[in-house]
Amino acid sequence: MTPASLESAFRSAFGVFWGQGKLEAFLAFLEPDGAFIDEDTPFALDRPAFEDHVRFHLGLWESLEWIAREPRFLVAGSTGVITTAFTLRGKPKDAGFRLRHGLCSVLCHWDAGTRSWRALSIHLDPLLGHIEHASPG
Amino acid sequence: MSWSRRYLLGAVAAGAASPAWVALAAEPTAAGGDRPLQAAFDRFSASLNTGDVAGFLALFRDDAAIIDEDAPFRMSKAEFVDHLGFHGKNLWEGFAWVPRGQRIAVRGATGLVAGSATFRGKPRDAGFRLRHMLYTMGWHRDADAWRIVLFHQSPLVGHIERGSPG
Repeated sequence: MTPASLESAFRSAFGVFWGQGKLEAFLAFLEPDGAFIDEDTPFALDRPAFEDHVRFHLGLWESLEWIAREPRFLVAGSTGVITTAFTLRGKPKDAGFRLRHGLCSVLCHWDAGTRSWRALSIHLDPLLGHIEHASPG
Repeated sequence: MSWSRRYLLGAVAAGAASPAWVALAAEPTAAGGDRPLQAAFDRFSASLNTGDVAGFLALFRDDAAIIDEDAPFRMSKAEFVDHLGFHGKNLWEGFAWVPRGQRIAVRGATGLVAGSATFRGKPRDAGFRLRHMLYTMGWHRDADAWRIVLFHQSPLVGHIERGSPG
């Protein structure tokens, strides 16, 4: 239960989004009763809905990368918190290209049974919403 | 300062002279889930809406990570306090944080509360302000007390505008 082990779990799970892992590993990282908020959905999804959403995107992209920027890994006892900025970039089929910058947090707990970190939440959100209309005048 | 009629942001700023005003205390969370965590969340919501500054900040661990709805970067607790202080400089006549549809999950000493929320209020010299958001909160239980280790709020507008390329 160290920041290094939390970072390792994060990179193993999210590696699928930068070409170094499998979707199954990412899905196994998610707790069944967690809450998952994607950057392009305006509500919290449960795990089946989140998986359905991720699979919707499969086949729609010619290329896709998800780049973590300045991630931080905090461990408090059996609780792990990952926060990072990110860039989602790629080429959708039949569209020029796509860049989407955002912020991400992941709440994890240490599963003593499997001796692994598991995610209770993933919250991805675009920078756009933090900037536009941030103030009334 | 418990249950005063001052709202939090006005109270954070030293010497704030805002009129006492709070639009709506947060609804208590529904039955079910982990009751101590629910109680901690309800304290969070109540303190935010009633100006219990000490109670509100005490719920955050010193090493908490915060992503607020009107700042495009991660903040430490100290930076969050400073950010709240900016808002408290007599900028609001009224303010409320209204949570909706909480989802709670607990694994040992780790707790999650997630849902949607509305910031609403009246800035001085502007008509009114409504800001709808999604939030996730990470809690850690230490010495039988739940404290916040993660607070992340994101405006719905960012999740909707330009959500797809065509």
